[in-house]
Amino acid sequence: MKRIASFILALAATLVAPAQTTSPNAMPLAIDADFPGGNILVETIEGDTVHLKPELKGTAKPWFYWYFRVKGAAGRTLTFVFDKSVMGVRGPGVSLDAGRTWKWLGADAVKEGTFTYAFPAGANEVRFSVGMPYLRADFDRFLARHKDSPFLQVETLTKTPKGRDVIMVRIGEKGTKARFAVAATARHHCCEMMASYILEGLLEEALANNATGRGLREHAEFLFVPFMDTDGVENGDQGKGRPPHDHNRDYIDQPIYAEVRALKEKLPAWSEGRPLIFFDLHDPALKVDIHETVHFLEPESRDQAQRLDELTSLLERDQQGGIIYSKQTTMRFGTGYNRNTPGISSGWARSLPNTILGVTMETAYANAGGCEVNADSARDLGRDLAFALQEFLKAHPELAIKKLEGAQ
Amino acid sequence: MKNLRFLITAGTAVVCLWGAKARGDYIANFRAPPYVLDASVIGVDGWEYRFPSRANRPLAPYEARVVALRWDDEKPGLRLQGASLKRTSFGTLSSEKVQISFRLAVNFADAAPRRNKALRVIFWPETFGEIFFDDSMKGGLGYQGDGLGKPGQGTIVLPRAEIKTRSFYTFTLLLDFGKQTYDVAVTGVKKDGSPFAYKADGVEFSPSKAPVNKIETLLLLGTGYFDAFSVESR
Repeated sequence: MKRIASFILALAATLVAPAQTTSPNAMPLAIDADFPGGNILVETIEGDTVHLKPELKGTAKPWFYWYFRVKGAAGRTLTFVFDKSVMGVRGPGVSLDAGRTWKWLGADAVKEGTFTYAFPAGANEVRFSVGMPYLRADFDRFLARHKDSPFLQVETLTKTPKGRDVIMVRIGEKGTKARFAVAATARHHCCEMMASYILEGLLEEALANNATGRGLREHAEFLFVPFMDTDGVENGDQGKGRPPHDHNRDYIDQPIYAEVRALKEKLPAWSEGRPLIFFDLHDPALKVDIHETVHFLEPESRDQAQRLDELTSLLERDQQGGIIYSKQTTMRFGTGYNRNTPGISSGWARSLPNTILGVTMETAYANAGGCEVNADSARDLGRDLAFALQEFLKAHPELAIKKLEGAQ
Repeated sequence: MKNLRFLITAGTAVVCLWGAKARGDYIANFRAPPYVLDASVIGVDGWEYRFPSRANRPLAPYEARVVALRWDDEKPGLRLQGASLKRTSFGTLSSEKVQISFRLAVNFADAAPRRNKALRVIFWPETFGEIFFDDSMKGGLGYQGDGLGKPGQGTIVLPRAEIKTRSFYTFTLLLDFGKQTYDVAVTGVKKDGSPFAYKADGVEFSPSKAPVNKIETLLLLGTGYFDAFSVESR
């Protein structure tokens, strides 16, 4: 009898032991940023409370980008303590699928920069960020969806110091020369990831086999550089304020960044004197006031300011996306931070003789005039911008004629 | 035999569709002529400005336009933007019961100053009132018997926090002129993706008004999307 009891106990122990080692609950808690775009400094872990802050990674002034993952917390409830200055207005972005899709945790979940999260029982890995990170892998997934498009050409603008390809995308009807050239860049400040979703929406519409897509390609050829600070995006850098100056202060006589040097050569050559529209897509600061809007920075030139006014009127009139845009938010030249800043990309683009509009667009991280900014709504805003652009180009054939006459 | 069965089925379908169409006193789906994509509906098929002076506003041509809905697979629909239109012709409504149906979609900021009644679909005489989207804090999609459109009044069937923006809600109103009542049904999808259905039968026409036996006017006021409008004798 004793023997039978011992066997049963031994059998039970054998069955239970492996279950414990493989259970997610048995995994030690791990918080790290060792993946593309990752950024975090873990200061302390005391019980269920974790104190963290963004890693500046060489940026001189305090900035707010952070992105980390938590493993081994399934079934637990943890509290994450940040300084409130680095927490967005809808709380952290949360991803349960390793950064492919994101949701805001919500303003109600955050108090003074601190949030508490109950990890679902089956969640072996949960990622958190100040925003909704967008990396090269996300863009590759976008390209894969459109790989069969006859209008799409993927090229390399240059290589980064770390040997990465700086991707460049061209869109146009094959065998035709469109009258206008339209270029858009994003991530001069690598942390400003919500701008990437706008760019994706713009690209999507330029590729679309619908009236807008056809109209856009009939009038214009497109060039996109989605990651102007490619290394910074993948390294999880702040980018903004990077010493001695950041990528969006590098449009000077002797640029120090390979991407900027390459674009300064490529864009004028590619546009071939055609009337050029240039968008540089950014996110502003994290919150408060103008930083919780979508806004364009008005160019100094009266002609270009008028064109921007017309374009934004069309955007306001024809928008259908979840972010409700109001052109009242346009930052007039000479106000706020819209001044003659040396070395910025849109300022350089405006200095090209064939540019009819060069403009910076700022899209809030999480809240734009009361509307939620997220991956979907930002993509829709990009599509809305594409529609407005198509209307603008359709209405202004004379701009192309004027430029051509000027060139002759 | 297969062909014969197909012909019978097809013939039956055609007869049914013809019958349905014949019963429809007015149908506007905005997807076929006389409606034109990217064009105003003003001056088309009986739609007109509520006040003729509105035609002089710079954005007047854009207040009621058929557009490809980018959030609905590019299907055409009527986009209203600060609209104020009316139509006064609904054909010959030959029976005591009339069914009105249409689809509405709205878009709004979830955290911004409220505009109160942002979209109103008003039927005159106002005895069976209006369908509305009330964008105030306690608002939502609803209906109201008196057509006065005052904020905070009326029956909210779906609170604003539960509304899925840019998603059509189908409204069906069955008017009974004999009983001076109407049935209201609303279907659609909530913000969380779950199905939504509402029904109220036998809602009394506004008791303070004289009995009515026909629809005289439809007003469309405000901002939103309107589609698949029909008025049928039952």
